[in-house]
Amino acid sequence: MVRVELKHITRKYQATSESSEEDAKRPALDDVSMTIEDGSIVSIVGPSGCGKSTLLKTIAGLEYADSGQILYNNVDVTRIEPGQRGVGMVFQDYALYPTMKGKGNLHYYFEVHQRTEAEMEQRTREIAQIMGVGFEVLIGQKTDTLSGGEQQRVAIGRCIVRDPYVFLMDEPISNLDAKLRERTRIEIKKMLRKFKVTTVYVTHDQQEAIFMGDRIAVMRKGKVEQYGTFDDLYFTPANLFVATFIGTPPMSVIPAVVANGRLMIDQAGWTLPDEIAAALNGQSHLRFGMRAEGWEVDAPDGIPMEVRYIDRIPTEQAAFAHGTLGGISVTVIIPIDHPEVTTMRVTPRWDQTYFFDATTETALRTPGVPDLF
Amino acid sequence: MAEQTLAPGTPVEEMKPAAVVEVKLTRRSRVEKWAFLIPALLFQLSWGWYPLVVAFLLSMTDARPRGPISWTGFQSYSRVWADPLVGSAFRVTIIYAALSIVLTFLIPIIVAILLMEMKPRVMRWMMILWFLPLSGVASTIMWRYVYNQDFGFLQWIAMDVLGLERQGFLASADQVLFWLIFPGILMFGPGLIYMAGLQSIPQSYYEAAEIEGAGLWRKIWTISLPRIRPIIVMMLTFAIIGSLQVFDWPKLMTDGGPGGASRTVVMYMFDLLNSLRYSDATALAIFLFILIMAITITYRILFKEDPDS
Repeated sequence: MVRVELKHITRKYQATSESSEEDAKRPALDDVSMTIEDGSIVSIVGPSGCGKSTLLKTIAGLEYADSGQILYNNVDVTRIEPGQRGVGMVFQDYALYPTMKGKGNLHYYFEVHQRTEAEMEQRTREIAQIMGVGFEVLIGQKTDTLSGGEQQRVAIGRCIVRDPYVFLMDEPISNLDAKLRERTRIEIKKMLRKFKVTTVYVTHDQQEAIFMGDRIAVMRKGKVEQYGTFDDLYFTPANLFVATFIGTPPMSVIPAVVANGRLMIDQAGWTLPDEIAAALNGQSHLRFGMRAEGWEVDAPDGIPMEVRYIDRIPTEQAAFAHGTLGGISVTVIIPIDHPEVTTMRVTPRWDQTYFFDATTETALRTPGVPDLF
Repeated sequence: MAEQTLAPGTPVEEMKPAAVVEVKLTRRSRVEKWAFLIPALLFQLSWGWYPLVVAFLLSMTDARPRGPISWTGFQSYSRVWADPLVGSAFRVTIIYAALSIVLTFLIPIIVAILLMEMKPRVMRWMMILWFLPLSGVASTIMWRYVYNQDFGFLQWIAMDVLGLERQGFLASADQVLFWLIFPGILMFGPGLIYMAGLQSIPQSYYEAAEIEGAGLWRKIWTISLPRIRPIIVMMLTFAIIGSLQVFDWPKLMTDGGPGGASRTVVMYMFDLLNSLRYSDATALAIFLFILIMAITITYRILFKEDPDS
């Protein structure tokens, strides 16, 4: 198994018809550095056009970095062809070779590398066993007769049949329907656990990224905004972008002003505790971030929030109150038996507050990763 | 209408006017379908099937421009069969078709595949340069000059550049078929169709193959060619039929000369019609029809089965 290191990878944009003017000006990858530990799963997540697929292709060798280095176990592979790197890749559209049966797809690598027939058959049998029920039947059929989920299983089988050092997955399940997606991602995760292959998993869906990855890299405009565990990203986001990207429902960010030791939103406000005030570097205009679970409701010092509607979720034994505070949509978790109201007094739990600089959007104060154990 | 009023407690089935709407809809759409089909169908019947049937009937008669026509059975067929010029026309046509398919069919496919390997910018320029649309008559005039025996471009190359003796080109019975096909080697028009097919192949197929270490040839062999195979099969069908029926290009370039060395079946048919031998011309047409059908059917059978089973 392999540890993958990226050092200051930069890549110019390859203009395509889909790229906007603004995108074309900046590099697709802008000084990206990260280390993917041996046997770990890293999710790369970000909005479309953020460079996550380009990064994956650069790791695979399908695209080359303009500058920077890629190391596999301290061996420089920056200029090595994809076929020589020993990577396996799964694509969003499966990319199974046309007109071949599933089996032919699994055999392709062995044919390219002129391995023996016996080895090929042996490996295919092993993989069929690992891939579980029905896989033998799947690979006996022509790929265009299979459903999306089945095609992706064959594609994953094709990828692991040759024991890759690094497993690269480019949105492997986003073409599947919701129910199948859920099941497939559990299957993939179980399989990756079993193989302990170093894996890079690209997705645009933060929940998928959180589920799959031991660590998560959040990308925007060719840069890695933050790279860490889910707890790191959730409790200590580096900036406003990461904070709003991770978490469901998304964090509410309210423009706020600090004046006379009070945190003011429009006309109302709360007295700011000293230790928080100290963390804000004396800045007066801020972005105040709150997650749904950070609010206390109906406390005596609360300020009124207009409630638009209350969304009760019986399985969670809670309800989301969607309201407006300072002109911004805010979601607050309330007890499921909370009465129907049109305004509600809310107070932040100060240890769960986030503050960001209004211009640079970097974090001034975050709750920090809690010590749960 | 009074019965139609719904009393409380009317069973649900009796309440639906939906059935009426359905009938109307299907009838209307059926009428529409035929309204769209009939003009095309009439055209096909009057200009496709009617001439075919009439040609077949005509070939069994002693049809003349004037005077009574009587049935003669297969007389014109045996006359055409015995005609030595017919044999030579078939020989010329089959050589022409075989040569033109061997020499011109593969090249556009190869060019299209190789062009796709180039950078998008280069590719666009190459497409403009190579797939220049040329008018048929204009290129005839140009090529007649190129082949001119006294001051043509090729004669200049042959004599002044290569130092060969004076060449006949279109005037040489041995060379004429090759030189008729030669312009087709330089024209890659059909390549555009292959490129359109190649462009529809997702890039990820090639990326997957690259990751598994496949080189250019293997990628072409396992991805590009299988994906454009249906287009190739279709284009080859057209090429076979088209080259067996070739008429206008040799007619304009050589008018069958020298000495019938480039007179194809359709050209001879044209000559027969010009000399008012209608039944012989139609009998010849039936012979050609049978030949083309036989070749096309054989070819379809050969290429029907899947290459991977």
